[in-house]
Amino acid sequence: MPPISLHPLATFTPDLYTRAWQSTPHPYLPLLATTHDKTVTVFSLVDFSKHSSLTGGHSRSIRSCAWQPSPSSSSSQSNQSKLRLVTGSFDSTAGIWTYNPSAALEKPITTTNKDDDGGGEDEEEWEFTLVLEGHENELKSLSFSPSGQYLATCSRDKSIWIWEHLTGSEDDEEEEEEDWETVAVLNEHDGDVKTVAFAPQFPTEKKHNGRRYGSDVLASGSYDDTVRMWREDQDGEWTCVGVLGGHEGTRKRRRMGGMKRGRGERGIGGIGGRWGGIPNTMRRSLREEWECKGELPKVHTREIYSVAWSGRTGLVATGGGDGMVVVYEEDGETGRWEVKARVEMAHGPYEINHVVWCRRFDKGVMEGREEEMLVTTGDDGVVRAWEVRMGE
Amino acid sequence: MSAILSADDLNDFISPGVACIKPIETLPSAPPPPSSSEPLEFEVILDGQQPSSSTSQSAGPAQISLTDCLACSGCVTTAEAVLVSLQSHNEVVSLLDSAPSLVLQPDNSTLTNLDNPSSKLFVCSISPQVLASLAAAIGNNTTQSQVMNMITHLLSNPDLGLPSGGKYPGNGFTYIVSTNRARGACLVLGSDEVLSTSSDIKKPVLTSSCPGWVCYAEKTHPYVLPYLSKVKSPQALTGTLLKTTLSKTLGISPDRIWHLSIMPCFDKKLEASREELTDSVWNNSTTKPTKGVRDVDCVITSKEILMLAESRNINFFSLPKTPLPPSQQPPPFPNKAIGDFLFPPAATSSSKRNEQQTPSAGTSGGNLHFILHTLLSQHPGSHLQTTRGRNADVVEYSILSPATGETIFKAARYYGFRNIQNLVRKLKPAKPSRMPGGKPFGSARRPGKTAGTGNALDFSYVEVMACPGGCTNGGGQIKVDDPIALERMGFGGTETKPGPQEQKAWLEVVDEAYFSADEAQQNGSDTDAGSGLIAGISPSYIRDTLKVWSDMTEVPLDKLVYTTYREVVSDVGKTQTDTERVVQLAGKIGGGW
Repeated sequence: MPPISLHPLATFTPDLYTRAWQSTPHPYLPLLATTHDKTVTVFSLVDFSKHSSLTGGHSRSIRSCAWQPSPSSSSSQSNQSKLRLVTGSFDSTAGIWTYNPSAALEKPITTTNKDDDGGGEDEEEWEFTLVLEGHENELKSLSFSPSGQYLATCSRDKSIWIWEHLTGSEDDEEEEEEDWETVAVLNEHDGDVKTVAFAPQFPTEKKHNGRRYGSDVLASGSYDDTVRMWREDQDGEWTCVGVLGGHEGTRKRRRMGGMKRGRGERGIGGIGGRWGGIPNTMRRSLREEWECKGELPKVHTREIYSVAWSGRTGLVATGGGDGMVVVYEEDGETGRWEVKARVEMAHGPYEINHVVWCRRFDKGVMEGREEEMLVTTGDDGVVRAWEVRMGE
Repeated sequence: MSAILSADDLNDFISPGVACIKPIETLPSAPPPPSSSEPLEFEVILDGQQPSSSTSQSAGPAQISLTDCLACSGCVTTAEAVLVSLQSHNEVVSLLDSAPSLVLQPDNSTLTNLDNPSSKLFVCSISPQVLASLAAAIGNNTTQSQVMNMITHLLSNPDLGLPSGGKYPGNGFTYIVSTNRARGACLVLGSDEVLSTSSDIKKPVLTSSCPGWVCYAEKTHPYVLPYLSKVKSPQALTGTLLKTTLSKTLGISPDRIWHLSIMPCFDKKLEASREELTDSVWNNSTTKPTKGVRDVDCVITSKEILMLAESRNINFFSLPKTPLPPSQQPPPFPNKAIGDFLFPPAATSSSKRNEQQTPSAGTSGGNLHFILHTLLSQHPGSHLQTTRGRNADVVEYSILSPATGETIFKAARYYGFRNIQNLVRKLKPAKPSRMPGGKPFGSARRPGKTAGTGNALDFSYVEVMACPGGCTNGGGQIKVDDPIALERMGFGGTETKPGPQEQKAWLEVVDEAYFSADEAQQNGSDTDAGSGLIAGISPSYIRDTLKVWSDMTEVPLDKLVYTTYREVVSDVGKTQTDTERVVQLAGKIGGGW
């Protein structure tokens, strides 16, 4: 297997000056949303500069955010439905923000507007349209289902809420009713739920003992050292269909990387572990059994804060409190995972809070090619892009 | 582990957590020490001690009683079990063992042991969901009335039940009543309330008999309180009925009556501790400013009945299913009209029994069902349209006029926490945006539109219950993972924890026991405009009985049947008020000077 190396590609500007928590790329548009303090800054992936920002909606720090995938899920359909970002905050609410459709998506670089400068221009771009309340305390993470229909939020109150976005007719240009309903409140975790992630699109529903289960699968990771899988059954009830216990070297914190589908398997990244899924049909209720298929070699010297698994290349990246970024690859023949690249002090002495694989839209990419880069987000308030080079 | 909770906090003693929701109360200052001793000019104080003449009071140990507790999870969660255990089968046994009980003589007016101030008259009320849960656990097509008899034996039989043992053999329960009786009154009062044309009633009216829902609303969504129905729950009404009637007719104060209620959920224990449900509301003969004697003294759940029997080494399942023999039956109830209402004689027509309900009423008392049937009988020829909502616990009902097809009345049922979320969100008033520029937005509306109204919520009545599936699925019921249920359903063996499918199957068995009727009760659910029956209840009989009750106790009816709600305001995270600062300063040595 060819060696891999990571090279600094660019730094997103401007610096954010406060700890940045998470950067989320849009499913297909050249945008990246980074949360920091009580704000979200949206960067352009074309030139790594600031595009817009979302301010004023939350009273405590925003830890996570997610772009809503549009139902038509095609990159050219961006005119039809609105651009929506959902923010999850420590003030126990989730905020739904809509981008003003009359503003162009590709903005020229403007002189930097500080947020407290009346904020007039920023306000017009992002509208804080709705607050989802209900959690008792800090919201830790959120995730959209592949179709954008369901949003899952999780919190320190040990519960996961699933919300459904109800839309009126999408063709109605006038007023799209911003209506969200609570679909489920899942209380089965015994501890703080740190993260939720929906699996990328699977085409199949499941049938088990005459009951049908939807194709959306939600995974949740919690301080109770378990990861749970959830599916919706035919009565609209979300039920837990699998529980993954701890494994050797389990730390209290579990951060899950994205769910990835490849070679007919599903997997989740966890700290120090990766799990493959094999459903077990012998039980009365649907109970999936997940088997640990491999473990990532121990490289990090401190806690791993983030795991990212690329759906395109199959590479896994981790980042953590030791300031290191590590990339792993699975050997096709032996099934073992190996460290392929590592960068120490990727953000200087600062901790790395988040890593994510992201499609490249910058000019360095050759025409017609799709390439991926790694984006790391650090305590230094800086978001960095890294190029992945195969071969020497 | 969350930041607030640490391993040190996990013990069985209540320590008010950092996030305790009970506001700090300021106690009146202690009276100054008697001036008989000459005030000393100088006093030597050791480091850390309070001066003896200081008017400061070291704060007493923080006390949280069940009245304050709303199970808000602000306190350490392991200690919640302690709070709830204050009302338990152990308390029943210790009460029975504390003093000889008051015994009502066959002339049903004289009481023995009246001179012993600790002696009490024991009465009990039971909800039908409890009977259904136990009937399902017993199996063999046991009916509710058979279970009722078994519980009566447990509580009153001097040879087989609790009175057979303990410190004072013979101590048992005198009257055991089903809450179905008071439920009939609640249904009539509820429908009168929602159909009233008074402008005081805010629509939609929301059912308030579920304490889980009420406590949640008071704590988290106080803007919903004006919509709650003011009618008491069947448990509360039974309590008021028993205590007022017995204290008046027997000439004893209500604290001499001890009322136990057996309910399908734990939240009913919280309801029993409400200050609004004590004799301070209706007792005009008490002069001392007490905290009020509760209408319901203790609540235990279906599971705890079995534990109660076990604690006296009685096998509940072997108790007779037949009624008590005549020699052991209590004297007739001291007031005939109320007695007939509470204990309808066997020959009573079904209109006065109203025991059984049909499945369309649901398992939580059938408030909505009764209102719909009242309207159907008021509008002959109209029909009812039922539409299921997004899940099994949301159902919408419309009554359509025969001629025009126009909607006369819209109502809905919302069971379960997640559905309640959607309901309260629609009732939320608009609040100004937090953004500079102040664009207002409601929680479910775009800026500019009026919030809180609109076609999303035009119901006149919503039956709200916290437990999905209704009260037969309450928190205190025997659940599918209980060994008794596993055995009954044949789920034991190699299977690990029963899943949601098994829970549904078990609930169906319990529901079947809940809705099944004996021959005597077959016709109990008819709506018949001719005979004045609505869903098996005769509103005129109810209203007559209520009037008799109010006259007899000399208390206005609205004090007896209605209650109020209050918003719970938390002090958590708020900056100190002046009062708190004073209290804190006063606690310092030298009073802060």
